[in-house]
Amino acid sequence: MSTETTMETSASNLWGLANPTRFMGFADRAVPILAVLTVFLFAAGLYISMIAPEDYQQGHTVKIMFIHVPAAWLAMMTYSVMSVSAIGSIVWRHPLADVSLRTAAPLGAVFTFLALATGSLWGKPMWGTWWEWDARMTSVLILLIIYLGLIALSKAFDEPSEAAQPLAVMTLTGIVILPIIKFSVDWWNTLHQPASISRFDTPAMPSEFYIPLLIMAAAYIGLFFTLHLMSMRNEILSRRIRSMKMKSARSKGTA
Amino acid sequence: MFGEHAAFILSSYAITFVALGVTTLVIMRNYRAKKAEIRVLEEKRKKQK
Repeated sequence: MSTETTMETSASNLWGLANPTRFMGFADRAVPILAVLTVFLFAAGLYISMIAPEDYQQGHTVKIMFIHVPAAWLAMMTYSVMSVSAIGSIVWRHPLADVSLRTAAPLGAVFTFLALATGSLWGKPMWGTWWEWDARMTSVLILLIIYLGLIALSKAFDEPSEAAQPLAVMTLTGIVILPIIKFSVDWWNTLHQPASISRFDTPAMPSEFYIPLLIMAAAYIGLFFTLHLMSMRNEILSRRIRSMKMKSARSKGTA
Repeated sequence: MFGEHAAFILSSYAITFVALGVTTLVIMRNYRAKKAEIRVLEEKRKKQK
């Protein structure tokens, strides 16, 4: 099969998933596989995290990094997924893009909350403070507020399709927070340390630390995609229920 | 195993797994509730026909 034909097939498969019925079939098959993979990655990541040696500066609190850093990465990755969905919602006005956008927001809020909570639990023994109005921490707090605002906006309309465009526009407006979070440690003099891994070929930490970190990050990514597919499936079912109720009410009205 | 800061380490792991576990359970419960609601609505529709 030529490269062109393979690309065309992949593209048609991808567009095929844009059909909610086909998407439900895909989600029903993918969720159990992703769930098993995620559980395996969490088990392996937890084991390796627990047996990791002490850091010469942080001592055992380095173990908090294995859950804090992936939570912070996922907080930003989820917003990136939402932004891509927002583009799909604005450009193609596809309902599945809107479903993806509104179901990712609560997951992003959970990961952002975890990044802040675990960061605070690490900061107290290491910096001597639970919280500092430092550029990195403040910008992540703003990300949490953006997530909460988007969740509120998505629930502010009776008809979900009416919320699609305002939600997509607001999501794309909020994307400005991602470079601010990423580069806050370079642009401002912050208490927060620079990026944990900026280059995979020469990481700023020994393999005893970055291997558990990467396995936990893979587990978090697996969990995100599992929960996102499950939430999207729930949202599609909600819309089906709504449409069935409206049809039933209409038929009662005409009878 | 966790040194003098064990309380901070265990609390952060506990918060993480409780938050992720509760999120997963809520999503799973919603799925079951919605499936059950669809079944009821479909049965009603069949009866109406």
